[in-house]
Amino acid sequence: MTRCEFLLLPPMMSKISSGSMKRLRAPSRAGFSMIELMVVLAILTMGVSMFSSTLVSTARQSQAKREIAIAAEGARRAMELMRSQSCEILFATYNESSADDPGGAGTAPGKHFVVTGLTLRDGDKDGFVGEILFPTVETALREDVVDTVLGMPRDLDGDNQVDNANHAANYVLLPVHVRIQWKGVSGDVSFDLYNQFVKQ
Amino acid sequence: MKLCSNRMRGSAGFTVLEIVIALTILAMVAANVLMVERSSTKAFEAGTSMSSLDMQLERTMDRIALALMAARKDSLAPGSAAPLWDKKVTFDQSKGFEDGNEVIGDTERIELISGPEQIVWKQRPDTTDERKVVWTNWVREYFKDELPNGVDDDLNGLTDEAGLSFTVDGNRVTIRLTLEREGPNHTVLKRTQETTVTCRN
Amino acid sequence: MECRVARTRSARRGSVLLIALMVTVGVAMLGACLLQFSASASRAQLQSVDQKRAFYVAEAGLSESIFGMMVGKSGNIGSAESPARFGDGVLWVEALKTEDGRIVLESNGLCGGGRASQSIVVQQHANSIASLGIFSDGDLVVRAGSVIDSYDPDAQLLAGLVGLLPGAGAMSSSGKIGSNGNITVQGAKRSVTRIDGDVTPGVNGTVISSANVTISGSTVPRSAPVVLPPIDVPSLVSQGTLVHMASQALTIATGQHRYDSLTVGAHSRLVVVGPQTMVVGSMVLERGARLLLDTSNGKVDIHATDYVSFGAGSVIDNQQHDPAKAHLYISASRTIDRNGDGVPEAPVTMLCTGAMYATVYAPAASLTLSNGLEVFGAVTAASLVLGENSKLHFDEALLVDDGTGPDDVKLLSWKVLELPEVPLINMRVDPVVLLRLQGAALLSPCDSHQDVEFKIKYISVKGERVVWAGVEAKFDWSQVRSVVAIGRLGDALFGIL
Repeated sequence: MTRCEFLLLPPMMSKISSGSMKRLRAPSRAGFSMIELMVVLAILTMGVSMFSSTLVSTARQSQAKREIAIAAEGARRAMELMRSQSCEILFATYNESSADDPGGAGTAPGKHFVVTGLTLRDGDKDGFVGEILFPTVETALREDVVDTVLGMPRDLDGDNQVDNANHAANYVLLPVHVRIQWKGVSGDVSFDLYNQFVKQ
Repeated sequence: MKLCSNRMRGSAGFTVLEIVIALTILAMVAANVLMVERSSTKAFEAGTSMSSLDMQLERTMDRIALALMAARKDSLAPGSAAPLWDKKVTFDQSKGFEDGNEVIGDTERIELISGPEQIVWKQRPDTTDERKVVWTNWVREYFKDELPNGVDDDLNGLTDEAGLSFTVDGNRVTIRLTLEREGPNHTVLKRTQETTVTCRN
Repeated sequence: MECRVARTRSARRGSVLLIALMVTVGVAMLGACLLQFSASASRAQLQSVDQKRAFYVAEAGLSESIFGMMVGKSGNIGSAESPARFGDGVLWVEALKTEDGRIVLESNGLCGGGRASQSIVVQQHANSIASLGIFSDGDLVVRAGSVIDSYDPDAQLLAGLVGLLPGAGAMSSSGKIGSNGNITVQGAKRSVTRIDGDVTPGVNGTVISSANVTISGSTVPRSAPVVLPPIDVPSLVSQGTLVHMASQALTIATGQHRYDSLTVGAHSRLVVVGPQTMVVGSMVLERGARLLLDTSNGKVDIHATDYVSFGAGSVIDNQQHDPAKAHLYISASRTIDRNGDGVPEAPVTMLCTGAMYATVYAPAASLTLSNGLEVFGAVTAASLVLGENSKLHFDEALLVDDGTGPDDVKLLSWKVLELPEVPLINMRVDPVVLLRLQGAALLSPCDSHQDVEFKIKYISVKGERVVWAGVEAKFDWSQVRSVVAIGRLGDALFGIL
């Protein structure tokens, strides 16, 4: 430690203390280099360990980025599938209920969708990472749902009023939230995409 | 100078041993550091090539997707529906209205050409005025795990599909893309992405 | 000499540490390089992800804008200075009117580091209700011997007559007949039914036609159902009941009138002079009564709210032969017993004969046109039956917008736009964080519809007619039940309202 102190002391200080040091150091001179080396080793170990931890975290980070990229692609795909269909049938096709499916009960893809390449979260009951959400109360499409991200509450059927009726049959504007939730390399992650569709 | 003369005294006997030990340890440390550095460089290179492959994949896919979103669905050619597929798609885009008439852009084509495999974007293809831009050189000859054996190896409904393939379903186009490049130590890195876009015109 | 050795030794002693430090620095630099590279790579990757989010935020802006235009707003949402908040980004949309009457919407979406601009060209149709032609909200039945075609009033030539001449049928191709349900066209051997033009059933409807029927146009179902706009009955003070039984003609002068009931006795004559807005509870024309509409100086609009009965042989005559100037709005809908005989009467009975130049709009009532009636104009009803040998000629002039019909917005073209040069876009920071720091309001898209000064005439939720002028952003849209007219600074309507 003494050697170390000596090395680290500024020149002025070392000059002042040199008298007392002379006596102390002379017999144990061989050890100085060892201590020196130990310090060097410690510094090196620290450096290398920091470097390797950087490597590991970088690898993990890039894995996390890749997962987000997969999720974004999956969400875009879901959004584009909806975009390709006529707005009138979107709610009935992608809502939770299968009774109102336009092609007959149980024929529509419904709320959930698959994204390959992502791991399900522990305890995810529906078995899908992707889901499509609308401003609903239970199964009713409602104008009075509070959801600032989707701009709710708001008028959906073009009468300038916000009411508590079910607008599943007469909406003109349909806000959509596509959410992907999965178990990532460092914890649970979710990715969201928002859009609105309008009847034309 | 005072310090200098102090140190001199009684130090001659230790010098060789000191140096030997120091050098040995230093050599060990240096060797260690070198090893770590080499392995990390390798990892770095692998990471770099993987990252740039990922980036290239994202960028190429986004370019294709955006080009097709603005395409007129009636102009898509050849536009095969699954289980058939094409390794190219020709289309044009709507550019808005001028003097009451819709302005249609130049014919464009996105194509996987072989020998060596490249994805190219062509403006006014098959004319003397053709303009060609290479979007990526790292494309794989066949999609994902597909082999040229007349069998649907990856069970996606398409047989022997190429590294870039298009299938059309109404106003939707599904794009399948596999990129590959050489990594460190002659490894082959591979990435696949599949997406569907809607033609908005 | 001694000193030199000592100096070299002391120098060497420090050198081990120096080498170690250099190596450490080298490793650290390598690490930093790697970190920076991975950071830039991930930034590029995140950029691509943000780009996707921004793209859909911009698309949501376009939907918002179209939605606004459908209910009569300008289509402008927010601005570059105060954008609307949607999803995890912000957006604003500019609506620009082109010289050829189309509207270009330019939407900008920003999300994280992603920026996207899209532009669409739309055509806005504020339809006249009469443009629907012969239309039934439910099923429509055309009985045998009917003729449906169109005519061009400017050419003063009945296209239907031209159609009878061989090789000259091109003019009569746009007879409009449609429904939101099925359309049944009947024919008989002696009385062939002829429709010159398209027969358009509802989205899931079909055209059922029997033998001896010719349809020159398409019978493809419509792609979207037609929403019939409700009738806005003007609120006027009632002048009681009016019963006219005398043989000489009674004239109702130009102006606004309301009667609880209006009865024209058998073979009596009533003249209504336009411009005229008349609201009647029940309207009865007894056998052989004549209703004369004088439209030489302006429109005649008659609203019947409760009950309409045109007796056998009654005649509705429009002296100027212009159906665009004679509207019969029937908001009656109840089928109840009105004369106490225990048999409920339909809200509308039309047994009138001859030629009727008018637009009849009865969105809530079933309508059966009497056999042999000839209508020049348009007829819309909840369900419609055209009697035998009836003739309907759609007036092409009715296609001109008079602001009464449902607005529709049709997408013509979509493209990706270059990003505009505005500070918010050029700064590659999260716009939501930045705007919050600046203390911006960040309203929702539906609260961000705005424009320059405008004037609006509307029917309020309380049923009153209101005229409002000011900056559009300050206008309370929740008061509006339906829009009568809107004029924006620069529009022709702005000066008129």
